[in-house]
Amino acid sequence: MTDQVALASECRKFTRYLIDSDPDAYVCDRYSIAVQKLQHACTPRHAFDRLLLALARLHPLLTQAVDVYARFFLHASAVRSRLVLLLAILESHAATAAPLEQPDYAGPAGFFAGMAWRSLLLAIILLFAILLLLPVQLLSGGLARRGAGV
Amino acid sequence: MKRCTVIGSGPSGVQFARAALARGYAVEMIDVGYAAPPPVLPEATFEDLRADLEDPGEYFLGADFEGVLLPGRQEEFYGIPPGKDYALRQVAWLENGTRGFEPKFSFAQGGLAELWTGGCYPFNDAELSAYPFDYAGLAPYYAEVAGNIGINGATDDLADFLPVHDGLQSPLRLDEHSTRLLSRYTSRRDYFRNRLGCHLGRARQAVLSSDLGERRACSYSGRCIWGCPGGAIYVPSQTLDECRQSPNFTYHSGYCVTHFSYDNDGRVTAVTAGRADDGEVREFPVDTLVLACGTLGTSRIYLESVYRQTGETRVLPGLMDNRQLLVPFVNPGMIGRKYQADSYQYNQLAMGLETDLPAEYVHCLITTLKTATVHPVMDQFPLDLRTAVHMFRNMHAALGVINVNFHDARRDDCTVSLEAGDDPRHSRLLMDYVPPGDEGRRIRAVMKRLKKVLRKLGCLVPPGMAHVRPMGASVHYAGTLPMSATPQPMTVSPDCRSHDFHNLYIADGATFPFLPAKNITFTLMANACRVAASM
Repeated sequence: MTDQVALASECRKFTRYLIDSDPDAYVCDRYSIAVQKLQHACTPRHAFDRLLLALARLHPLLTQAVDVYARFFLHASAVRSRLVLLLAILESHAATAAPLEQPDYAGPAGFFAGMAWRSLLLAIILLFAILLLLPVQLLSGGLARRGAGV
Repeated sequence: MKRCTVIGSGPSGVQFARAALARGYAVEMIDVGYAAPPPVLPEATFEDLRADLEDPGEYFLGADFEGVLLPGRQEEFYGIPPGKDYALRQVAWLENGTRGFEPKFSFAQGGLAELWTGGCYPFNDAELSAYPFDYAGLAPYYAEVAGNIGINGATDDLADFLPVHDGLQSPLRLDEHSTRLLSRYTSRRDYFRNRLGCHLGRARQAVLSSDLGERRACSYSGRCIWGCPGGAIYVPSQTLDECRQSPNFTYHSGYCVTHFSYDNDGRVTAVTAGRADDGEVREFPVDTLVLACGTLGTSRIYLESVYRQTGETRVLPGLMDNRQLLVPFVNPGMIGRKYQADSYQYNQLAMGLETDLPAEYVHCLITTLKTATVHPVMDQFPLDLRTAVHMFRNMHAALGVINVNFHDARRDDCTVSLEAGDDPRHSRLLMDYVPPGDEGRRIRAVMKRLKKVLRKLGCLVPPGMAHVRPMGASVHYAGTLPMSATPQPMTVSPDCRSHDFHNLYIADGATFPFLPAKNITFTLMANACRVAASM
């Protein structure tokens, strides 16, 4: 698989993960260009970073587990950078901005109830991610690099 | 015909030039003058741009995606959008060094105010107590500027702190979130005023609510952050364009003035400038020189001139800037509402916090979140991005931020000076800033009050999200060559004529002896008109 095809596939997976819909050709094209232009942030810098990216590409549940893990334990990882980059492209494009902006609830009560449920699920996913990934990161010396923003 | 040479096209320079032309002067302006690109699809709204542009990503994020704030980058959320990069383009051969200060320089037509949010807050008598004139002395010039640039606002509770001058247009249409905040305040007005010392009212901005000359009133296109395409938000380059219509105005762009020369009687005879792109030197003879290139630019020219003529390396004390604190908040009553793109995007409300000393009044600007780029906010949530997206789309309209401004006073340990640069032809400008000793205590005390005010307004402050901006970020620089009624070196007269050089005027913030908590741009412009009237 060429880099372009791999990036297009990754873009589709990550877009579905973020907004539950498929990206159009414009988003895939921009994502591919952006990842190449921002190589310094989007290229994994060590083995654990590569592992996170590979896992995130495998399955949406793993994408979420890797994403939340990276938020707390390796914020500047390549996978988190790519997700944020994609988010920026999605919000700048009319066809993909709507899912980022249309509220689901009519008021705060439904929102807080919904968030409570999602937070519970997220806590379970985070626990799973910590059990799966933290030992690997510790073994690879990754936590020591975390402070340096790597 | 009397002639003067103005350096810089920022708010002070263009308002001085406009006022001088109106008073019969021939004005020559020397400026680097990087120009703004023409507006993209001027009739389109924010939402139209996302739909109609062939590559909206390039417009909103930049050709090299420089507008994307990636995890781990230490930049502020809302920096300068890609379309306004021209305003921070630098002159490559100028060097700066800083300690405790993160300055911004602009060499654009219109200067740093091309990036401003339009806040126009006149100083009152308490804040002018260190100045050689009071509010009444400045009021005609506030009115003159207001009539020229168009300022909207209301006479409300903030009038206790913001004198009401002539020439105010009616306020802009409020967005729903701001309406709710103001309504909550109004319903418990006495409590806010008497118990919390908090006064809430409409912001005053240099934004047209009705047409002025060829400029059209705000169309609520939602494009404020990306650059107002219709000219409703005032920027000084508009006045520069107006001046350029005059046969008595000459504009030399592409030149960065480095120093002036003077004779043995202390009379300035010429200025020397380097071409911005390659540094090639050119000399301009002058009759009367007006430095108006911002406090730091003016200080550089002053110091370099003295150094080149005498070898003396002076130090200018008294550098000031407003410390700013950003306090994000959530209004649960707005959860589930759709944010309003069709509204004015910057702060629509302002808030004053009383202090024991009236001159130390704390000024706050309340901005509700609308069309700004939001991926950096989602990235900051302690969540995965899928959950953050879900949370954010329901909370977008409920989010806001208060920009808290603190006053500053001249102190000897905050200085501007020169040191040897890497290029032997030019010195390096060194800015040294030490915060006042009680700053931490003041910030904590205000933060505590602000949290209480926000709770009473029905809002929450997310823990750990408040952010103290670095000194220099507010770009309200002042104080290095202050007004002084008694002649002393490195000061100017009450009319801003240098006490060192007879035919040198300084028309920018360098002459301010005190910096209130308010945005200074309106006062810079009014004072520049006052200086022009006094010549």
